[in-house]
Amino acid sequence: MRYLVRRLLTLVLTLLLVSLLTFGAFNVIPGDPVSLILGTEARADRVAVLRSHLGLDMRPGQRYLSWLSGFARGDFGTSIKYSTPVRGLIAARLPVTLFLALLSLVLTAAVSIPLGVYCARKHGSIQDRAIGATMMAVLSMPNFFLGVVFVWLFGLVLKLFTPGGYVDYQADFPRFIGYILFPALAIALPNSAVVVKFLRGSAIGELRSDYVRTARAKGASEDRVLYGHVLKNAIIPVIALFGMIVAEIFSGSIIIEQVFSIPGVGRLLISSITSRDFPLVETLVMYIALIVVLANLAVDIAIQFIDPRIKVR
Amino acid sequence: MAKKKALVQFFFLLFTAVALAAAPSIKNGGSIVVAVATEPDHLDPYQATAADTRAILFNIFEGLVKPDADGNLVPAVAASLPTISSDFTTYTFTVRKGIKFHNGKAVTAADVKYSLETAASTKFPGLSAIKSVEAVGADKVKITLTAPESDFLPYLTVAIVPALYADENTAPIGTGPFAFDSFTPQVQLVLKKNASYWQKDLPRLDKVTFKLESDSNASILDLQAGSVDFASIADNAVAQQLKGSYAIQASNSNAVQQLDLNQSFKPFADARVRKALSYAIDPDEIINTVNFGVGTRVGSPVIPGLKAFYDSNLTYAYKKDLDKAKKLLADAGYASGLKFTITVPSNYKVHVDTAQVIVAELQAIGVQADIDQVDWPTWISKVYQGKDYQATIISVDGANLSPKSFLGRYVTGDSGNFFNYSNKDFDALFAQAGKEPDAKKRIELYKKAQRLLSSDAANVYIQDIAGINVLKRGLSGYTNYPLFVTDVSTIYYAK
Amino acid sequence: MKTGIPHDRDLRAGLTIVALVAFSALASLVFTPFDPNAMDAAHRFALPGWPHLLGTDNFGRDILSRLAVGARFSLIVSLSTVTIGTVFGVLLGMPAGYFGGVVDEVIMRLVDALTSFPGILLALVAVTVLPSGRYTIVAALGVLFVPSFTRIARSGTLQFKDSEFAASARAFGASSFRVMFVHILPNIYPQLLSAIVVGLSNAILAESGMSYLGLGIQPPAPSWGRMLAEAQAFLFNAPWGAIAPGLAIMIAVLGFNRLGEGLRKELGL
Repeated sequence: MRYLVRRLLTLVLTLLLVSLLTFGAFNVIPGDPVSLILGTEARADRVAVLRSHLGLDMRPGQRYLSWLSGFARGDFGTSIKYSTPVRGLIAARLPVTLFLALLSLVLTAAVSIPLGVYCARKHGSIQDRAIGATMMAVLSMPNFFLGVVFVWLFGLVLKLFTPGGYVDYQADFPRFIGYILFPALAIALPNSAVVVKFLRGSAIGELRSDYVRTARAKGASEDRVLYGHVLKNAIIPVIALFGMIVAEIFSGSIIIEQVFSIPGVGRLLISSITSRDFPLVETLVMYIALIVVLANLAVDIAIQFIDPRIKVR
Repeated sequence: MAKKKALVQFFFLLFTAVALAAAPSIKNGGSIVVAVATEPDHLDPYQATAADTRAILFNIFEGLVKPDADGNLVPAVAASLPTISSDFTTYTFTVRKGIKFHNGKAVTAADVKYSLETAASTKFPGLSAIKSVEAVGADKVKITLTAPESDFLPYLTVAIVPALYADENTAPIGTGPFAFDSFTPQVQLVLKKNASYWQKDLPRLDKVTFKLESDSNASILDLQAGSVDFASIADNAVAQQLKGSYAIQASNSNAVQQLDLNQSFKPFADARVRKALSYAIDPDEIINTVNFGVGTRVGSPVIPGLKAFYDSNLTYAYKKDLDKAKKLLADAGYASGLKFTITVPSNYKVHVDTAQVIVAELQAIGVQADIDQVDWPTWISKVYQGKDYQATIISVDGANLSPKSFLGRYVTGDSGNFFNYSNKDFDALFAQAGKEPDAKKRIELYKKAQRLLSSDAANVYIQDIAGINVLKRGLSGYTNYPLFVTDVSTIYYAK
Repeated sequence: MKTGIPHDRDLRAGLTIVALVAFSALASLVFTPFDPNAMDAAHRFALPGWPHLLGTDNFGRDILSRLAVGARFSLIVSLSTVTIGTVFGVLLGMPAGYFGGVVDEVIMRLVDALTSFPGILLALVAVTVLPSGRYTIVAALGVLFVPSFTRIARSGTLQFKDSEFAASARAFGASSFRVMFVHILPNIYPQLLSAIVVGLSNAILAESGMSYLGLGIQPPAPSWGRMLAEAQAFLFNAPWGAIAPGLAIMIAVLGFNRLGEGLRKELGL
């Protein structure tokens, strides 16, 4: 219990730091959201009126504290560009990115676990090396390039989906999944490659241990040995990896959302940075940070659960 | 003799029959998806200032007058062109009979008065010259100016909206061919047909969706997939890949791409240096390399589309001459070489690519130019407002169809003079032209002003970048304007 | 390490590839078939052949020459990025692991915050705050790599801080600083080395992503990442413009990864 409380406190501290860093960044980079809204030919007095209306004439420290107190109350502020509450804008898009991330995670697990075990079982063989080489190749491509190749291959050549034909998840859920399947795959593949490598290495190590020999001697089938015993132990370092994977999926989704034209949180982040929309950017960054830190926390708890021998500070 | 006449008649009929058969028959209805690079910043016409936004809002709103495809102003909300008093201070309009807003309400003089006054209060360009607007009866409007102005008509393209309507930014209402249907931020803007539009037969389509593309690459992918029906692309080579399913049309972007030289940077204050750069940089090579040969070279900050005022003699004023360039540099004292930085906005690939070509071209005369990419907000803040740069590449357009909006920047101290240009002779010429009542003399004065800028090599003028419009086969009717507008009312599905 | 040609396959392959990349980077200083920035629009999109062995890009620039010079830029970017990441990672991670407590909490929270921070924003800050230059992006990338090196340095320090030699050093009155950097650091360098090598390949990929967003190395400098980002717009009519740098990146990343694998095995990790 104490552990949980401590972790939650560190969560708050991390979020605070993130918000400070973001605020600091915004005060350093040039670019004024008001000029972007009103255009380059706007009169100076009109600019001043809008700045005051948006609270941009406050001193930086004041502005940060005012935003922070609002955030603590659940008031995420109003987007400078769209003049609508930030909460609504994010609420519309967060589910999209979450579905994308979830699907990527599921695909990563679905692809890498069987492959990892298979490669461990057949390690040294041609199949193992071929799979290893493919995984290497996938890992060596910049993610935007992988995305573009995917759009070309699955969208234009194989015509499995229509690039740009995003379907709203509330309108037609099955077709929505059908559309985000491919961007999810583009995110999942490089991450799968990393997991396969780890799992394979870990499983190979486990296959050499005593309890495996014992199990085999007792007549257990190879499948049972692998999936029943080896996997349970080999998966532990991999689960630790999943915390990092979640962070990777979120940062990967930013570029993938651009390439596949998906109206998620990642695209909103990029466009709101470009329009210097401080309330929107701050809240988005906080959301992302929250999810990443929570994922790490979940991973740590899961590890404790699976193997109480591992003591996590 | 009769036989010949019969023959002529026969061929005439044949010709007509063939022409009729060849002309696509117009099918009314249908919907299209238009790809746009930036979404509307505001739906309220008095707040929207981004050129891209105004281009789309052109379909929802109309002013007393509006531009046609040739750049001429034709009456829209007004029934006919105004009666102008002989001293050029009073413009009187009659509201078009039967014209209605999208909400069914008839347009009255009171709406026009409200619109002009509201727009003027938001400091809409040019309307500060209005002294008063009077509604005379239900359908006549009298506009009185503070000073005589022969060229006030272009400013009356400002949108006419229903009086006291407060929701223009969320549910805009105008008189245009399309009415607002819905707006999903960052995704799309949907317009539907205005069934009671005053121009008969228009619009042809029932629905138009302006889809926001995250970047040009996403746009191209969507076009390849066929999920977009119309788009404006910068790259001719890319457009050529779409030839199979799209008709490709080149048009002018109606802005002048130029290498702007900040005269607060010492070398650029010297006209010889500016001239040297002009002789070394070859717009033809840029058009060929960056735009695959499609583009209109210019020698002046005025667009070729402003046919009456554009001085085409200036286009080759600085024909490529490396020896002249080197000599001018040496005269100015930079024989050992010159170094400067070109700041370009990273979101405009065409300007970044042009910068790369210019860097290569300038190497030939011993000038080393470095490129510094910045993002758009940084460009506006640092270069345009802060004037903190040495050279930059950007396309400069005019807010409306008058030479004033293209040349006004060069006046000393003008708010748009982000390159610190100052020339007393030019200031005098410009002021004189503004006051000149005779149209012919005015044209000549503006041309003289352009010649002055050219001989002074104020900036290096490159081209009017060609916009490549791609329209899916089966669609027809898109017309180009010399202004930044995307008029979708004339597009139709051919049978 | 034993002298002579290493026996391990991974190590051999890795070293060969890295040597090849380094060689082309150095060679490009002296000679390239064409001036990498010379434009020749008339011969744009030339297919691989003669005289342009790998063809030309959309400006008519020779791809092979740009690839060779790109090796130099990509190596400089990745080496600098990893150096910044490692130096700061060690400076932050070792005290965090060694002292524990509040120091550890604060540093790790900072590192967590940095992990969630969008890289684009960081890049914008770097580009603004630092004098504009070709390699400004390296600062941002370096900072982005700090968290992972910090974690490695920290966990390594945790492993060894209570070891015998550390304890005896303390018994002899050595300062914490000395214990950390003179005694513990040499023991964790194998882990760091392995991470550095992997980091090199990740840095190349990261720079590529930045170029795609318009923030990478300044043009016309031909880093591989930049070449790829520019060429992918023409993927449909001139794919070799993207294939060449894409393959180069893949081979280099493969090489670095194999080297990392081989080192890991050699150093017994």
